[in-house]
Amino acid sequence: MFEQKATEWVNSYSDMLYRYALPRVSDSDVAKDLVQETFLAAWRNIKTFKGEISEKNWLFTILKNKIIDHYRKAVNRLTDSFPGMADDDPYFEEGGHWAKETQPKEWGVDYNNPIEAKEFYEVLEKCKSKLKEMQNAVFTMKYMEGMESEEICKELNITPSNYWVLLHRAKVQLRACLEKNWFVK
Amino acid sequence: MKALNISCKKAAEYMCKKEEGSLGFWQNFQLSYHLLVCGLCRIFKQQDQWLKDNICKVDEHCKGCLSEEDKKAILEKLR
Ligand SMILES: [Zn+2]
Repeated sequence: MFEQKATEWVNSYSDMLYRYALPRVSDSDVAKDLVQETFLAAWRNIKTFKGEISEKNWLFTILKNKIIDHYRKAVNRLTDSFPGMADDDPYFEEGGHWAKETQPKEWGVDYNNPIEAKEFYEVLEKCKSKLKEMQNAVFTMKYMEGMESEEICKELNITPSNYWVLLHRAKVQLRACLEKNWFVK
Repeated sequence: MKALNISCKKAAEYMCKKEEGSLGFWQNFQLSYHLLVCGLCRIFKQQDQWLKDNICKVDEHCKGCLSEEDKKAILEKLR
């Protein structure tokens, strides 16, 4: 009974959960650990599972919480200052004008259409993984989890002004990385 | 009178805030004016929007999967 259920769970859902976690945490070992913890937590609480939502949705809810926990721990590890918050910003000159080297260039694509090439998404994932952990956290929670800024600040225990700087820098850096590695090679 | 013109850096920051309606009336005005006069920030705005629209497609394209060993390890833990 146990053996069967556990095997069924792992076979049906582990890859799905892993593929959800990986682009969010940008580290395969972390993603594996989170999937494992998700199954463990679900298994321990299986008696409380009332079947109001599907097993799959239940597992995803647990995983999402684990991902946010992971970010929260990352913030707690940073005691005094956040990397990615330093005053110097390589993408802008002193007066706040775009730096010549990395200023936005036309991509020559139709912005109304998505890109289908799977190689593009590999580049996107790689660029995202190069963000500072805090920037990646804020960016992911905002644009991939669809959370509100207030909620993100509360979860990560950061001030709104930290939040805006982190989000803004994540976007500027991601844009520049995509441009360099995909659009304008 | 407050300066109408803001820097590109400020403009990019304001674009972020605008999405969530956290931009004041005057700031909004400054941003609109900046976008009118600055071609680079207009490009940035377009690309930024495109990025937000497309980031979730990463999920569909993520093809990673766990190895048999990884799965066995999970089953061991559940035991
Ligand atoms: Zn500008």
